[in-house]
Amino acid sequence: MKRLLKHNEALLFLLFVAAVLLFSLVNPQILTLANFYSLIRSSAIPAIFALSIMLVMCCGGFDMSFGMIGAFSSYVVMFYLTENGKLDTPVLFIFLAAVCIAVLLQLFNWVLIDKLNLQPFITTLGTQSLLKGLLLAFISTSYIYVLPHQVTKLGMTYLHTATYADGIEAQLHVVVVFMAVMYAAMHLILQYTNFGRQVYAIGGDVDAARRAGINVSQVRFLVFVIAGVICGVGGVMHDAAARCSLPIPADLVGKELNSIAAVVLGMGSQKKARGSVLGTLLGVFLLQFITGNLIMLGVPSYFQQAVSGLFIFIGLIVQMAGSGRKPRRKGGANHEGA
Amino acid sequence: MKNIVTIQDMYKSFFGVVAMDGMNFSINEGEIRCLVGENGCGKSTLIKMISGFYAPDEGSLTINGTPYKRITPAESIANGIQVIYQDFSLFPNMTIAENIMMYDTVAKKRPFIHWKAMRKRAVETLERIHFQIDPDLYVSELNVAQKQMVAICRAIVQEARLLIMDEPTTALTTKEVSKLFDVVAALKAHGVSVLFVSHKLDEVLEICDSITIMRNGKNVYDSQKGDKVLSKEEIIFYMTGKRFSNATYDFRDPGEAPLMEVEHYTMRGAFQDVSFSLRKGEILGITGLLGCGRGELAESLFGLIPADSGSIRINGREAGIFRKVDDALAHNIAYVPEDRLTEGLHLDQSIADNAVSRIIGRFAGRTGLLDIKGLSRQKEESLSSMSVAGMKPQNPAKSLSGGNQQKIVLIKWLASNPDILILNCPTVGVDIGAKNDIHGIVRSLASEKGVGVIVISDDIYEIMQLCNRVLVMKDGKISMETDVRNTTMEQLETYLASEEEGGAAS
Repeated sequence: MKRLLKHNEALLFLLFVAAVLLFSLVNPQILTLANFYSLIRSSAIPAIFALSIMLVMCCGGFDMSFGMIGAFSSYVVMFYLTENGKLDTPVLFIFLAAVCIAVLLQLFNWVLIDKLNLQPFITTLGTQSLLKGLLLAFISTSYIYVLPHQVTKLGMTYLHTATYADGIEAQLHVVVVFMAVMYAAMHLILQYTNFGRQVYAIGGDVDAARRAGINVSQVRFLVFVIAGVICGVGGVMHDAAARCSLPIPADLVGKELNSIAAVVLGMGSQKKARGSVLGTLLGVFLLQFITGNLIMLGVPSYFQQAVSGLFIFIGLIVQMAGSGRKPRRKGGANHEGA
Repeated sequence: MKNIVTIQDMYKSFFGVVAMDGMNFSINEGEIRCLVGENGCGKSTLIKMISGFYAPDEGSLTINGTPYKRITPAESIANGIQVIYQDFSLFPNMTIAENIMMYDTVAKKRPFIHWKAMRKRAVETLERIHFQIDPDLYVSELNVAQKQMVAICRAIVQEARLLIMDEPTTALTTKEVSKLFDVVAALKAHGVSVLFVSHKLDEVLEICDSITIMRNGKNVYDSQKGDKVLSKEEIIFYMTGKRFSNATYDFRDPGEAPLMEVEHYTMRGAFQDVSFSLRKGEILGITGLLGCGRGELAESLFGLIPADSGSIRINGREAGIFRKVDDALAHNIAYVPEDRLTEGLHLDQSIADNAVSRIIGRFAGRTGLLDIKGLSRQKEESLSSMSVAGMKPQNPAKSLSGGNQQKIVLIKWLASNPDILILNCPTVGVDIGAKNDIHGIVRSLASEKGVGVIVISDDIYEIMQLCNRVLVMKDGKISMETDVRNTTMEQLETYLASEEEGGAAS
């Protein structure tokens, strides 16, 4: 516990609390259970996808294709089932199918990045573009509004309902359970397994990791597999919650950098520079909270984006100050001698 | 006394280039042996043979009594051989405790991590070498000496029986070096052998039981424990096969007004009230312990960091304080920085482009376009002014060895025909042959062209070889000034050592 408080998650949490208090001055509704439920609802899907990119970044990699892979895998499954009238397919099977597709696509990234040694950022941007094109050209461009029954049911499963003062209802969506389980599992993996240590080691210094006897290629393989699993589950959950499946959902594809911003906020200062599960979650919540509540206040959307940008700066500056990092002095007399 | 590693008649070549040419080597249990040799003599090849990264072409390798045709890295580690590389191979994004236990974690292959047990063992290891530090600090926050201690701890956790340290003292202060030697001595007492690979001869002589000198891929000298200690000159002779003259620089004062006069130069927290003058053709050495302010003084004389008060006079004319590099350039001052990799060269650019980068502006016409012909004439002229072995002008600067890179830095500055040349630790990481070349170039610049040279260095040997006058700095002040003919290396070293003792006591 002491470890956690000493680090940037605590700072990020304080920043989140500060944002909540600030907004509640303008809009007292913010401190209601209903608003909390709607925050969770809007954050859960971005949070699941942020988990995928976080794992890849912990391992020193980068991924711009996770949103597209999630959307692609789910859409292909939904398209096949609806075209063939198999609307009674069990939801477990749907998840499995989407996960398989997403894992294969992430392994395609793995081959390019690990085996062919291509630059991850550009490579995965290429994957994203390739999938987008293939989907629209060969599969379909239309929206699917009638999803398999169990998916629709999942999309309307609520754990609890709360009411705003004006009588509008907000529900605690079941997606929060998926999110929570995945975050807990990821925390356990990164923190308490040998594999997790090796992921961080590779993220710290690849050459040093090789000298430590780590099979870098194998660890990366597993990382991409897990990233694929998250993308597959995230893709189906996204469609379930949205109650339709789109080939290129605007809230997944093109919003990758928002997830990355959340991960970087969660990583905190330069000295630590390692992704943390709790930090990522707080990062996603903070960014979603700000945009969501600016909407509630009726702030125009361009202005929302500007405020999100500002909060990213504030987050980074606060954390840097918190870590007590000294500014670099020109000259470099600190490393003199030898 | 048992042999840990024995190597007999080992040969190895890479694509026809011979790296190891009949090497013989051995190290005993609890022995501290030093391996010295010039760059490219095969030291690192030898290390990689022992650690299993290269297989020998011919020859025998015996480790702990077992002969190996070739050894794998895993077998080498299982035999208790641990290499601490120059870059330490630590993970900056992990804590000290995590780093210390990382190799162990990977090697044991247990699927889950037991944090408490892990941290406890890390703390025990830190205590074993009496290194007091918070194990939860992140490695990226540590200085070089602390990182090295962490790397040593990590090796100990792995039950190291032979610790190979590659250039362990390069970035350490004198105090840190003596701390390192204490730790090494403690390891020795536990029966651990240490192989030091080093450039720094003074340290070699201080710590080792025995020494192996390599030249051209084989051992040319071996001593055993208890043998007579070689003098520095003899070691250099074995390393290079040449004898270098010990003549000091003979400065003849032309009797003109001083080229540069520095008066009461002060920078808060770095140096105070520094005054000296530099004459035409003079080579002035400035030395002192790490943290005495010599580095900051060098940088402020070139305008990299401005001083707070004081003044500089150039050729008798007041020039004030140099606030930016342009001020120094305007007075025709050249500066060779300490870290040539980040400050002296554009590593990815070609050698030829680097050589003219200082004066490239002169070849720009009124339109801003470069006079390509004139520029290539200048490149040829510049590069032919010095012999740089094995250099191709179109290759990137990083393809050169350290010594040759430093020559290119010199060429670049000399193209502008400076009046004053400031050299900040000019031969760090440069081997003895190239060092001698660089000293020769600097001397002839001073004696033939009348350039005034200031050499900032912690290498007393270099100061004695190169300079005619030396200033010693202590706590930011000049504490001693002497003509080199009136002192000896031993006297200067004793003076510096006594200073450190005094500093430690206060």
